[in-house]
Formats: sequence, C-alpha cells, structure tokens
Amino acid sequence: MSGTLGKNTFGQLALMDAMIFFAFAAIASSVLIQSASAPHSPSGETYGEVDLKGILESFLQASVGREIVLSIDQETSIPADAQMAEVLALVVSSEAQGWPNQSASFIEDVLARTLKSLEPPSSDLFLMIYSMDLGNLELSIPRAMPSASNQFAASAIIPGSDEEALLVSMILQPAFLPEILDVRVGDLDLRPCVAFSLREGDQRNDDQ
Amino acid sequence: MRSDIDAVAGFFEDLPVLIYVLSGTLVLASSATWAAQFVSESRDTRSLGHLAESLADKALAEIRNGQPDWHLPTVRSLEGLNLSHLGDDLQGRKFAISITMRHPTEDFVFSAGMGDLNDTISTGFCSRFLNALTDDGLVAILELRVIVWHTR
Repeated sequence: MSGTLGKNTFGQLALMDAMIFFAFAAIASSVLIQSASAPHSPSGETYGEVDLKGILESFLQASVGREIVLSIDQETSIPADAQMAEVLALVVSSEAQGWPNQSASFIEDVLARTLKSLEPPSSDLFLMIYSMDLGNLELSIPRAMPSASNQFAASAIIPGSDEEALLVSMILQPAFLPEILDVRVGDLDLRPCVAFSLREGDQRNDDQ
Repeated sequence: MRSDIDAVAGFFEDLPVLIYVLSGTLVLASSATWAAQFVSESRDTRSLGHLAESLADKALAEIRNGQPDWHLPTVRSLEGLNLSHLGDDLQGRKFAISITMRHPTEDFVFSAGMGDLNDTISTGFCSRFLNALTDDGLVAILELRVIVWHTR
C-alpha cells in the first residue's frame, strides 16, 4: 500500500480544500446574517413600544363616557362618570342580579368599543376578567377569545360588586408578525407609519 | 524553459483554488460588513427608542408636576403645556411630542416639536397613556406619543 502522491493529486486536494473553505464561508456568513437580522422578541408587559400596563390602568380609571340606561325590572342607569372598573364589576355580577342578557351585552358593546379605540396599530386588545376566589373566567371583551400564540399581557386587581376581588387581564395580540412590520427605506425605520397605514386600510376594508 | 511551462501550467491549475478561496473570503467579508452595519443601525434605533421613552417619562413628570398619581390634570391645562425645553438634552436630535384624546372622544390636545423630517436617518418611538379630566368632569384617556429622530 505504498505509493507516491503525484502533482495532480496535490492539485485535487488543494481544490477540495478550497471548496470546503468556500462552503464553510457560505455557511458562516448565512448564520451571521440570520443572527444579526433576527427580530428582538418583545416580552413582559411591553410589546415593542406599547405600554400595555399603562393602557390597562388608564382604561380602568377612565369614565364610561356616556350615560347607559338599562331597562331591567325598573329603569336603571349607569352615569357617564362611572369608572370602567365599576362598570366591569357590575357586568360580572349582572347574571347574579338577574339582568336580562340584552342589557349586559349592551354594556359589553360599549366597553368593547372603548377598548377598540385604545388598540395600538395592527393589534387587537382583549380584556379577560377572572374571579380571584374561584379562578373562573367571568367575562371576556370582546366575546371572541384571543388565540393562544403571540400574546402580551398586563393585569390588575379590581374590587368586585360583592366583596369579591376580580383579576382583569388585558391581552394584546399583534395582528401582523413583528418581522413583517420591520419595514425600512434605506436606513429609515418606517414601522409606525406602515402599521398606521395598514390599520387605516383595515378600517377602509371594514367600511366597504 | 521547461520550468517556465510548469510554472504557467501550475498557475492555471491553481486558478480554481484561488477563485474558491477569494470568493469565500469575499462572502465572509461582505456578510461581516453588512452584519456590523445592521447591528450598529439597530443599536442606534434602540438608543433612540430609549431616548423617546425617557422623553415621554419626563413629559409625564412635567404634566403631573409632582402631584400624586390619583391627582389628575385637566385636559385644558394640557393644551397650554410648554415642553420645548425637553429637547435641550437631546444632543442635536430632533423630537416631536403629541397628546391625543382616545376616549370618550377622539380629539387632538397638544403638540410640540423641534426640527424637520428631511434627511432622517433613524427614528425612535414611544407611547404612554394617561388620564385627565375633561370640562364635563369625565376621566378621559389620553395618549402621549414621542418620536425622536436624527438627521444626516
């Protein structure tokens, strides 16, 4: 098994080495590009620039904004300056108080519209209210539940109408993946503008 | 003469090797340059984002004026705010602050800014929510938006 390596064999070995070097260089550069351009995953109570806890606190503290007249057994009204937190507690206890479904869903619609007005561009906001004692989901606004993936949440505890504390969770679900919104023209980051125009487009589509 | 022929033939035999090595080096160098530039831009955008956040916090502190959280400002008092001095620490960067009412009605409340958007290189954005009292005594939800950018 002895022999000599000819000049041609050396040449082939050198070419193979060069090809292996090129393959490694290509792999290394693709890994480099991929890791550099990977989007930063937002976490906790902020999604990108959105302060979800701030939205929740402002929402709970705000007035309902309009007088809501309910026809239950006698005419009852919720004043315009009632706090959102109080109204939420009232809706949660509506079943126990024997309210007709229509009245509760009317208030839920008002709350859902308010929530809609606070939505960050290209995102959906959901409000889930849980009973602290039983851990049950008492109410979700809007009724459609958020999907399980890509969620960011903030929560607060509010007093219920019958001495029972309620846990209010605000869930933000991006309607578009962050990497799609990472739009640049040259060096200029246009995410806020694009997100805004996408939202405007959505609204126009809804109107049609 | 024989050795010259060998040398020329050797060069052409080594040419594919040279091409592979050179292109590999070029691919590595160009991707490293691109990655370095991209990371530097991202860092710049992130730092502008942090700057926007700190500016928003300063604006909120100015609005609250040392009062506790439960003490709400009125919407009317926000209309006459002067926040132009917040741009003093921005080291040449430009900024714009706006406050809009989101609930119970959609309304413009206030804006302040410094600089135009020509030749913008990168931007940072931040949004904060706060409550304020309307003339009707309702607690409104306001959004404070800050955009910081720098130009060439």
